[in-house]
Amino acid sequence: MRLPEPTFFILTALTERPLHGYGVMLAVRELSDGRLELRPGTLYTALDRLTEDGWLSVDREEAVEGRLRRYYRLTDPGAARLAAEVAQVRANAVIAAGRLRRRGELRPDPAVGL
Amino acid sequence: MTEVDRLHRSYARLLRTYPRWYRRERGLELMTTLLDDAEPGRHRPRWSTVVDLVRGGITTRLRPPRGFIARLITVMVSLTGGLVGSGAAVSLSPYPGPPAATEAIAAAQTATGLPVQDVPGPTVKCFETACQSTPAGDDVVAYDEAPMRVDTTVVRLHPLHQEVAALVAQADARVTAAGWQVDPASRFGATFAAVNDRLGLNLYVSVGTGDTVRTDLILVTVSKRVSAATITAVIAAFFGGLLAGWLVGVWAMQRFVRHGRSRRRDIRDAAVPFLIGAALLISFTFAGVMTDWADGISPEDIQAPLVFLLFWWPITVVLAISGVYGLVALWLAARPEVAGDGRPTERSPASRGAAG
Repeated sequence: MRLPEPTFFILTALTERPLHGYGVMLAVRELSDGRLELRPGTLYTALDRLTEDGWLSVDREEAVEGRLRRYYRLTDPGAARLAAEVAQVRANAVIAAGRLRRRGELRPDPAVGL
Repeated sequence: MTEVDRLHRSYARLLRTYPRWYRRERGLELMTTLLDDAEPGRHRPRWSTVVDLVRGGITTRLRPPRGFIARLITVMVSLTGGLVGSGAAVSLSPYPGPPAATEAIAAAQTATGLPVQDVPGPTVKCFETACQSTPAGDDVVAYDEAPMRVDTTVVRLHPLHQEVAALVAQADARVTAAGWQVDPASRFGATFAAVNDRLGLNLYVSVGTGDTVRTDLILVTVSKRVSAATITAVIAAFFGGLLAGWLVGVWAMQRFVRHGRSRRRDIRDAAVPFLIGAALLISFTFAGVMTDWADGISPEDIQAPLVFLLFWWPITVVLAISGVYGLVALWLAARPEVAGDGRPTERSPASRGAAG
């Protein structure tokens, strides 16, 4: 089953380093060019689910001046699931790009390998 | 009060849509993210954030933990809530009692065109599993058992030897001409069911096999119709019970997964007898609905869960005991969380003072 887009970007946001909740929100906004803006309620529902599934885990907590920042990191199963998703998306894109090129609707783009 | 304080207070109110355990574990973290996300000078939450938090809170309250068993148990608790709710609504609704002999005889004569030969017999009080057999010679017998909602008057008529199909077809035509509505799904072989404004009747032709004694029989069972108010109340109670059961099931499972091993074992031990009782109740009702589906659903079928709950005193006792076990499991789940070694779980210093 395909990953929902918010899940895809949350996992992608955590590939390089652990982030806290607000950090994930900012990273998702940036990675999606502002197209996807997660609200905190939606974000934490997704974080709960992904943690239950073992795709994320809590890396550490920072408590400063009455505020709590909990950092999440991508686990190996989470990274594997994201890699599988990328492979699937890429394979689908290659098929579609090939057909569109034959119709003359798409020019080859070496930057993305399609 | 500063703008940040006002905003904090508004968010704290909104976070009350989340369960208490969630606020205890995640409230401060969520509050931090909300305040980080608020632009400077904001003193009231944005509408989009309000909607998002309310939706998140409701989702958290309604979503059982991951796993097939957790979801199955939640569904079972929910269905049990719905069935007990509808059973309670039936038992609290007015009991109409069986129709008067004159009404039943009039309905039977409308259907068959035959006279009732013998005088009405006494009202039969049903006992436990079954109604007692009717006294010989009485062609009109009322069955009356309020707890079981048995409220029918049966009229027995003795036709001359006729083909069953023709007999049933003629009865069908007679009641239709008299303004009764025949349920098409109930037309099956030697039987059919029909209703008018006040009464419901079921006609069944039994063919005798004796060589010398005429044993053909038409049984016309007449009942007062379940009122629209009762049906509405039972349906509302079913869905209310379904929702309440779902909330309780989700709450219990969310508590269960947060307890230590020894507490979880205790909860499991108490929950198993309850789940066996719940499975009995659900499977009986499901089987009843499937059977009725084949025969044609009637308003009286809404009484099925209550009938099973009171079907036979050993079953009633078993179900009551399983219900007590269910309450014990809930009580154990509600107790303060303990770690695997039995000590009360300490909240992390960072989590203290979480919103709500």
